[in-house]
Amino acid sequence: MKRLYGLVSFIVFWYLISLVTKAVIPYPHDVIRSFLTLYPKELHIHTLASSRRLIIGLIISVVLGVHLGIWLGLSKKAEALLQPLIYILYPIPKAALLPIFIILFGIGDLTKIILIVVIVIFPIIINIKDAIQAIPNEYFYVARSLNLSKSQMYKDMIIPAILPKLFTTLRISIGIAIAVLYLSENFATFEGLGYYITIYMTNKLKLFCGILALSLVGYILFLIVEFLEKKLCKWV
Amino acid sequence: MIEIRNLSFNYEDSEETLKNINLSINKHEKVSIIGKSGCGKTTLLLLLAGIYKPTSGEIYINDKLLTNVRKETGIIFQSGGLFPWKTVYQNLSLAIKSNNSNITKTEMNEKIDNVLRELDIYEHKHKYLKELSGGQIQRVAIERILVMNVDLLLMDEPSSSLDALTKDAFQNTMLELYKKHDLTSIIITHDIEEAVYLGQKIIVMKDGYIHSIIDNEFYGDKDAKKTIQFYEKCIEVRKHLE
Repeated sequence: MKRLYGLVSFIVFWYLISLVTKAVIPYPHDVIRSFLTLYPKELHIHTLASSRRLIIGLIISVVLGVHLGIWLGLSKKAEALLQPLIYILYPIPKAALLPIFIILFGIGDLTKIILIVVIVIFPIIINIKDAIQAIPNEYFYVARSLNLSKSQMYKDMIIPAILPKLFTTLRISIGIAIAVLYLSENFATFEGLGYYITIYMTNKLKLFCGILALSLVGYILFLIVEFLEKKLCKWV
Repeated sequence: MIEIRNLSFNYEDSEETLKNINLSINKHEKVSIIGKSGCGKTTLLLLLAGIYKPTSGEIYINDKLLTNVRKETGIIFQSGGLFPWKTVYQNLSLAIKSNNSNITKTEMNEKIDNVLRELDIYEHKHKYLKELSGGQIQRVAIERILVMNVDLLLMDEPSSSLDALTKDAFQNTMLELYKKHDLTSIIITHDIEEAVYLGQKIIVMKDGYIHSIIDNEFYGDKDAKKTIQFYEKCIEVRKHLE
């Protein structure tokens, strides 16, 4: 029900903006009608290409970021060694490196996925490291006193303890990844919603259909994360 | 049961937290340790648990040099030390499995059900900690110790987050369990009355030393708890603390 209220409010807001801007922003009904026609014809190819890059990029970022974050959070040596490097690399505008990535990794999906990974991985590493360091010492003492093995310690303590923070980070990362994807799909590709939106800059309806498709991809990913969070973090 | 010889400990890059501790605790004895914050009480408890290693000196438990954590030592922390992402059942089964990896599921369930009934919280078996009160969480923490068949119980300010009435109930539950299971137990507390009520021996710590060891005749005496003599004992302990 809450979702329905949210959707209705969004559409009403969209109508208001369209009215105020004197249809510079097209009306929702026009966009939705065009979207339903365009999706099976041409939009689905671009949506699938973008979704593929986005999901692969996010999965790699999470797997690498969580491992590195745990390592940094648990090992003082790793923290001393890698934290300065992370803090130096994090603020660099990685999008500016796109031409270099194209030279290094070609014009295929790899470049776009790598760009997503190098941007999204930093907040994941930092947040997971913080989540590890926020686990009360008491839990580590309990794990020691219960003589938990290393694998039990990860399964029964560390992973569950960082899950809520991981899901929050994932939600933020989805937004960042979509922004990065849009940018990367403006170069050296003929597939992807970023490409679609850019080539139809002068066609209002197609432009907004592309934006709507990208929003829907993000929305579906948010729903998946929310579902997993509800399933895995019942205790929060 | 416990023999501590010339025990000293310091954390990395800091001065000595515990200085030349010598102490004997008999089997089945109930000991309270009291002292101001930062005097080294919790550090001593973690050393006794085998979680920390002494900088110098030795700890013997049942005539064996303590070199690691023991299966037979249980710890209860201030917040219970239970994992909030596990239900009551999952917390207890983790403790049982860590103590006895060969146990069958049926045996484990039976064991869990028995202790849950003993402490009257069977209906909370599948609840997460957020659904329990502070007193109930501490009871689950006690249960975790009971299912592990320990002979030494270490408690670090277990009642400090409880309100006055729940604290009374917790102390009485502890006394009942002491009678039933006859463990050797060490409780760290800031509360002088609790130290007197739950300790046959009261150890006063100051700045990393054992300042004094006071014999206590009021241990577990519910009736004495409201008498002048009980409070005189509390004043005596307080004087040692000052």
